[in-house]
Amino acid sequence: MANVPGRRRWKRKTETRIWSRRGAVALALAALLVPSYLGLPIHKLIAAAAELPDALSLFALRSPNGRAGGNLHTSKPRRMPQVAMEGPSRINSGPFVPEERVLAQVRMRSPALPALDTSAPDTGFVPDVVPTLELPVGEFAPFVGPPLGIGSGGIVPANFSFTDVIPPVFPSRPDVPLPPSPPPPSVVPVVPEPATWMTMMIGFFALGTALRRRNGVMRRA
Amino acid sequence: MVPPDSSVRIAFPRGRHPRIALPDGSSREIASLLRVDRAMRYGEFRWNDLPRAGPIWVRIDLAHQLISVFRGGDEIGTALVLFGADGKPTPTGVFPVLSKSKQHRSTQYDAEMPHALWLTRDGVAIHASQVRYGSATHGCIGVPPAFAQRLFDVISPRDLVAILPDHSAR
Repeated sequence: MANVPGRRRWKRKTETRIWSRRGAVALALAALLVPSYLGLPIHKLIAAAAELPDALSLFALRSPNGRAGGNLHTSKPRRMPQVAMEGPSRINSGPFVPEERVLAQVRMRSPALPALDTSAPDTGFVPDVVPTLELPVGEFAPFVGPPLGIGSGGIVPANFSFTDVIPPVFPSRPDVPLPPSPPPPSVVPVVPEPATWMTMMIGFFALGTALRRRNGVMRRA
Repeated sequence: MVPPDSSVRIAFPRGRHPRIALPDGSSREIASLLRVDRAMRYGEFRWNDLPRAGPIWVRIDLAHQLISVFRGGDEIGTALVLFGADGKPTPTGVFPVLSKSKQHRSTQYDAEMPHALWLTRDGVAIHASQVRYGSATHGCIGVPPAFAQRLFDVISPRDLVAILPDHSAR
């Protein structure tokens, strides 16, 4: 039945008939003609299959190529403090030229100097602030001269006498005015006051708080 | 497998995939590119994602002002980009994405930079920007906002971004 020799030969004959040379030619003709019948241009299909576009040329095709020069601008300026920091004085000129100067505080003191309290010369202590006294002029003439050592806080030995060191330059007479004297150096105590300590510590706390807060913001960003 | 739409992308036949070089010396095989038949305008982009798995990587060509997003060998997005001007050039090389920020506000430039993909630790990122003719950045890569959102959604940290140098650099 299924293994009848004649039946198998018929099947093989059918296969050979299908894949004969004539059948192949007919199939190729159909493959060529059917697309043209459907309206597809054969030559374009063949050309598309043949030529492979270069990947880099495809990239170049979609771009306006290099960036045009000379017209670039950035739309986002830096923040104002940094703009102020990079001002014209820092960019254009070579060395750094400050735009503002902060002067140290100038303390004005009345030019009339307090005279020495010579009523107690034995203590040898020169006080910083001496109340202005009305000196009996003429009686203590050698002590009225260029004031040295006032305000320096120095301690003078007990047996020290100003008459040994300072010659009486200006004879003290009522009709001769006293010469102008240089201002005394300011007195800075070595140990800061408690209020100064508190101010400094509050400043450090403020700095630390600001830094901590800024770090937190940056971590979140 | 979904057959590629020939009107959207140009598929290279199997076995004839071109390879494009990356700045670190390696090269990648390209299976298909998006079909863009003319020069794109600034702010314009193409996006056509494929429903298949594959590593996301990005090629940025400064000489052509182009960004191309690939999934495996297939290009899924392209756009024109902004990049750094002379004083602050964009670094070139292959960078893994360090992290992503959906809404980043730059404290340095006081500007919104949404959908930022951080490339370097000193602040260079791919972020949304107004891509216009004649504009430049301070070193970042600026992409159109809608493109930045799509790229942000598909890319993940440690994906590679290759930035090719600008040969026309002045």
